[in-house]
Amino acid sequence: MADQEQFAEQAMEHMPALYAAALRMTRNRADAEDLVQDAYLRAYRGFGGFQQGTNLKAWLFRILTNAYINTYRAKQRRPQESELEDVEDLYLYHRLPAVEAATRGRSAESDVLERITDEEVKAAIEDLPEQYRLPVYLADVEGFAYKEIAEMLDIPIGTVMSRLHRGRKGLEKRLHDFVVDQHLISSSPENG
Amino acid sequence: MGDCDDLLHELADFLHGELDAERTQHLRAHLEDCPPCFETADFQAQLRQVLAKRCREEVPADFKARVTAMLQVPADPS
Repeated sequence: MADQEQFAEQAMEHMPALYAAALRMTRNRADAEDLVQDAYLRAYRGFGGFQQGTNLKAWLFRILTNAYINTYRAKQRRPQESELEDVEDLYLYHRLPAVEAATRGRSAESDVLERITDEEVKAAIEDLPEQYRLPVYLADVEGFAYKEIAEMLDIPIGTVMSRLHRGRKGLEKRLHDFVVDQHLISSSPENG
Repeated sequence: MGDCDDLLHELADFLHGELDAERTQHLRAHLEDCPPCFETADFQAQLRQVLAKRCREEVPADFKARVTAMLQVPADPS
């Protein structure tokens, strides 16, 4: 069983990344653990089909994503497929002057980013509707190429790109809203 | 400034390394010449770093042990 011994050795180092992704997908610890365990079991059994020298992490993520979509989510009986409000490009960046003004110049641009907490980033991602959440997470947190994401989610690359475009803006809006809450800035909807 | 609009529209794809060589070169040249766009790109690049950095999780030790056992990693000889 040399192959499978090798598997444990190589695959366990990716567990923190898989576990973090599973938490963002399922949004709770128990389900995330079940999902990761399921993915490891599938990967272990299928390791013979893995081509040594190719990207093991991407292969594991593909299995995880498949397990999530086909098993976990299938059990859920059509979760919220809510749409994402379309907002302008560079939503957060364009509002930085307001944030800085409201904090009386105490927040340089990079400070604003530094003040965003782990919990806020995680919540902002988890708030995204699933069809946006997965591509955004896989691209911007994990850094997978669009082509890899298209394969993982089994959707065309053009769809990946359009969901990323909208999902990223939605994420920025949520982050902006957190920053605004932190500083109790009154935002004026008229000015967008 | 058509270049600025083009840049902003493709900025995320550019930062992700998804543009072809020609577009990449075009945008890079523009960034060098256009301070406002450079600042925008710099902020978006920082934002991406923050996203990746803020999403880490500690794997619960008992869970990790459970999966390791499931994969039947050879026991430590000691």
